[in-house]
Amino acid sequence: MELQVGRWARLLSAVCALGLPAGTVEARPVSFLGSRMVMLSGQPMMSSLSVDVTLLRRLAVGASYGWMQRRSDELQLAALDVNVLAYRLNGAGYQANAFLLGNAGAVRDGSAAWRPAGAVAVELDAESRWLYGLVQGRYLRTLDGRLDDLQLLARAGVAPFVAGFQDINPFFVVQYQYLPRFSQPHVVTPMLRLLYRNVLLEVGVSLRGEPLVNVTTEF
Amino acid sequence: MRSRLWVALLCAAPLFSAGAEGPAPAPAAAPAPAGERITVAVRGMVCSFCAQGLDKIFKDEPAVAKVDVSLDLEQMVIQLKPGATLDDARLRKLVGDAGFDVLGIDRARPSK
Repeated sequence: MELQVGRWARLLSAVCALGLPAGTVEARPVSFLGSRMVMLSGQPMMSSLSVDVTLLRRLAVGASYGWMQRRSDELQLAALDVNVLAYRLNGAGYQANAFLLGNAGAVRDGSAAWRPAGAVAVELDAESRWLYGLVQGRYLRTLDGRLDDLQLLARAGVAPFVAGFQDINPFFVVQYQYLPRFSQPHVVTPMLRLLYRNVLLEVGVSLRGEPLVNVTTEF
Repeated sequence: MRSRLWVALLCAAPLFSAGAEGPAPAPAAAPAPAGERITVAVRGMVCSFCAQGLDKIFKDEPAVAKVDVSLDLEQMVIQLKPGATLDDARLRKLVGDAGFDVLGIDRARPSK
């Protein structure tokens, strides 16, 4: 029980501290022209916050801050974001996207000094009104090469019913994360994904009992 | 006693009936002229969260009076303000800015 309380407390503290650089994946990183998006992602071993503005149809820029507790260290990243919509396919009843994501900023390992660092990611997603899938690979590295991190993520989801435009749109999603530098390299998290107007909320618990909360809003 | 009550009710009846009729109705106002109604078939709309952008972009457009987005029909219906215009090129640009593609445009011009 103490362990569970500890996990929730860590998640809450991480969210409150807006800790973070792990990539946020809950919403498309390039939205409608002129939109501003705030994405908050929280798990006990990592959390992140990003604020992005879609400047062009295929380009969003912003800033992010992240925190992650790995097997042998604890990293913080503060970075500027560049998100590019490389490809979009609008089909009959579905949409598919390919994004290229970049971060340039600094990473700090524990109490050490901040080091220049960057991250790149590729994200592919496809969604219909009742099916949802996403894969993302992200690589982070300091300029001096002393620190790096690789994360892979895959998601698959299904909607229990087809929702209307102003209805709550739920999806049951299973997320798999491959985190080779973390104490638990494989994390599987069933979650509920809820979309309602301009708010997206994801709540889940991993198979090991680790909570996950992601919140996104755009305006 | 009962007869007095009936008399009172009969005397008061015209008052109630006058009140029910109320003042003479004002002449009906002429219906506001309707603007053009445009139905746009949109490709790629799959979730309400994503389609919010479409709603917001068109509501910010000065010529637009009302927008109705339908995920079921994969279309949006735009009601323009009276006298306002929105050409196809502008429509396609706005839908593209929201991240979607236009499949077709159907215009119903207001009857005069």
